[in-house]
Amino acid sequence: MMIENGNLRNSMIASTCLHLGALLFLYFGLPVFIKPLPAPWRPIPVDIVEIGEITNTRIRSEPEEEARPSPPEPRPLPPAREEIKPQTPEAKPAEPPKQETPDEAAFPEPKTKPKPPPPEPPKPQAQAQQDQLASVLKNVARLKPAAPKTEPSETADKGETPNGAKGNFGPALSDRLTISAEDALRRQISQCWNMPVGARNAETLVVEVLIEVNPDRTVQSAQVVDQMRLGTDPYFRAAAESALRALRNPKCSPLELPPDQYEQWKTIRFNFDPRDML
Amino acid sequence: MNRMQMTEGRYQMVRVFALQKFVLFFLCLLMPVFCPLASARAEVRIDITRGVVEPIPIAIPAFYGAGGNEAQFGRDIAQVVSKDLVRSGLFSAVDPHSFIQDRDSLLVAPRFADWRVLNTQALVVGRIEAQADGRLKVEFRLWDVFGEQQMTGLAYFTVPNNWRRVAHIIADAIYKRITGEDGYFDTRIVYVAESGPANARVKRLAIMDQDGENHRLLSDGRALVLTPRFSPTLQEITYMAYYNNRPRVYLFNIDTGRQEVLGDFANMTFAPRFSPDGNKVIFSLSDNGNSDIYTMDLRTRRTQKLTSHPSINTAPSFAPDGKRIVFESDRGGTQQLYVMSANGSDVQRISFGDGRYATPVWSPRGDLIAFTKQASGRFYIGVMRADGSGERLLTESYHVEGPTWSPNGRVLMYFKDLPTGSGGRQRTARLYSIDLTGYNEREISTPMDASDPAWSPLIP
Repeated sequence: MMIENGNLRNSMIASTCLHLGALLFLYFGLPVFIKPLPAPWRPIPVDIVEIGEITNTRIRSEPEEEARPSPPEPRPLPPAREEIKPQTPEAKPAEPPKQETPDEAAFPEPKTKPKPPPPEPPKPQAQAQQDQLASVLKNVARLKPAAPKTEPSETADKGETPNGAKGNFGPALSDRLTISAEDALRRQISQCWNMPVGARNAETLVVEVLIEVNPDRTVQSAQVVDQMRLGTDPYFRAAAESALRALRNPKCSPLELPPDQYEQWKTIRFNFDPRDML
Repeated sequence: MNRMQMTEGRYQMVRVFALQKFVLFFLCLLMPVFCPLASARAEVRIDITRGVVEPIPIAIPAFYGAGGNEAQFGRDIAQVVSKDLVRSGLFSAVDPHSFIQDRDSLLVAPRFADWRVLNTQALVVGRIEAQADGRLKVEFRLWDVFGEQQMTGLAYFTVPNNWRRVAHIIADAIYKRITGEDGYFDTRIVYVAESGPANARVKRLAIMDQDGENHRLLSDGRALVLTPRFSPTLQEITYMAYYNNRPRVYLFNIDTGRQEVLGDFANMTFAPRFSPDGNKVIFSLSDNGNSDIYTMDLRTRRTQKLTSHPSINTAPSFAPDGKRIVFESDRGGTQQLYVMSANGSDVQRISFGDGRYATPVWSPRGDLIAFTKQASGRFYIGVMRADGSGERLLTESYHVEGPTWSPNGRVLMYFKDLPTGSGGRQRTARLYSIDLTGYNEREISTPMDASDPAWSPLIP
């Protein structure tokens, strides 16, 4: 007992000394600034290096060195999210069909809410059908110089990577998910996003979606950030639903993400922005 | 600098050191608290600025009907809904032969996995029930297959022979729920049906549903009919007809069949068109080689002259808010488009491209103006914004003219004609529609040659 108490006391003393030592070291060991007076801040010229639009590296390739300029500061957290409410089936009154339309009925709520089906392997897609709507805003006269961006699906197929790091988010991204991983994901979702190009004021239909990802890289939940506009603006709702369809599309599941970096991508913020394509 | 000052400077220095040290010291102490937070903030952000423009795959199984009669209506309605949506270019129908889930079990609940493997994004499940009074109850639900929830559900009661309209109304409801814009399937087209040789062409007024069904002729062909236009508010049209070589502007109510002469103008009249509230008609009158734009109040029959310029001013069309008017004029030397306010003031030229611009039509959505353009011996249908920017030409042909907007401002219809026969003395004219993105051009089949289409508003 005595010995134990002695030991405890000894440890206490040692611990206190060490802590004190550490604090003293921190205080006195900090660098001393030689310059007597704080010099006025001078701007430091920095070269901003553009990152090429095309990443040659595929997601599966060996980890490459980051070809980035100094890592950006971690961005502040976005405002707290609202809880998304489960969308209940709506029952709307019907428009009257012609004269013989005395009454109209709304549907009852669906009785059984089907449970989510087990995840199944996505069916291999047939070659994307050659539809006339394969690109956006056609102009037979080619008044504008033929913009390469008018054929999204093609560029996507060729494996080119649009540099989407623009707009609201600046250089974007966590420090750790590589640019090539980011590109792979962007390219994948671009192929599943059916853009609302012909809608009125399509340039205002920018949709931000926050998703949570399961460790198996499937989308656990997807939530449109601007819930208020979702409830009031039918055009925005249509655009938001097109974004959600892209994220839930079996063609784009699982997400192309480095499997061993779950912590880095368990939540992802997508910004669906059709402005460049109009 | 004396010694005093130097000492003071040194004191200042020391104070600054001390401050810096304290700040650094506390920062170091707090570091372990902030570090985990900073790493937790790392969040992947991805901008998606490209996508595809593809039709949305939609599955529309035949609506369920218990009896043979109801089942037949169920098949017919599902087919019309499907055709409407596919024709819009925004949807593609999933092949019914590939369906996994059967119709009966669909009524309980969709098995979404069975539809997902077919890459179905939207699913329409409907049911038809005969009522005791002889009417049909037609109900449907639209399901979001990926989101696994109901998007909308509606029911209608109708007499059986009205089933086609109900199908169009359902197609409109689905279109609206998915695209956010009003549909345009429950609408009609009025056009000029042409027949006979080029030198003795018979031109009659004709009407049909927007999908070409329920075609009928409205005039007997004794008068030459031109430029029919729908009222944006009523099932009423205005058009021009030549009786005994005298042009007159007529008003014709499709539902009642009532027709009246709006004006019997001594001088040549062109291109009457309704104002957005349906209370006025705007047109041009020619006088000594010039023409100017007038409006006429349909109740008071009072006319007002809006332009007074020694040039041709014609083909006026109101903006949907009624505040501005687009028209064509050669006041600048060539035929170009101009916009003015509703009282004729503040005229501004908006078209500046090569060639000549004609027949401007303001979109019911307000954002675009459609026009006919003639350049380098070809005709084009194009659109531009109301300020003249963003001109795009959607289609071209030997002769293409007369654009008219669908009531939701998403689709344009026009006619193309081509010389046929020996030496190209005959001509064949057909109606076409196109999405305003410039894709999905489709012919609308008509029993005779067709020109000058006019799209109705949604049928009330």
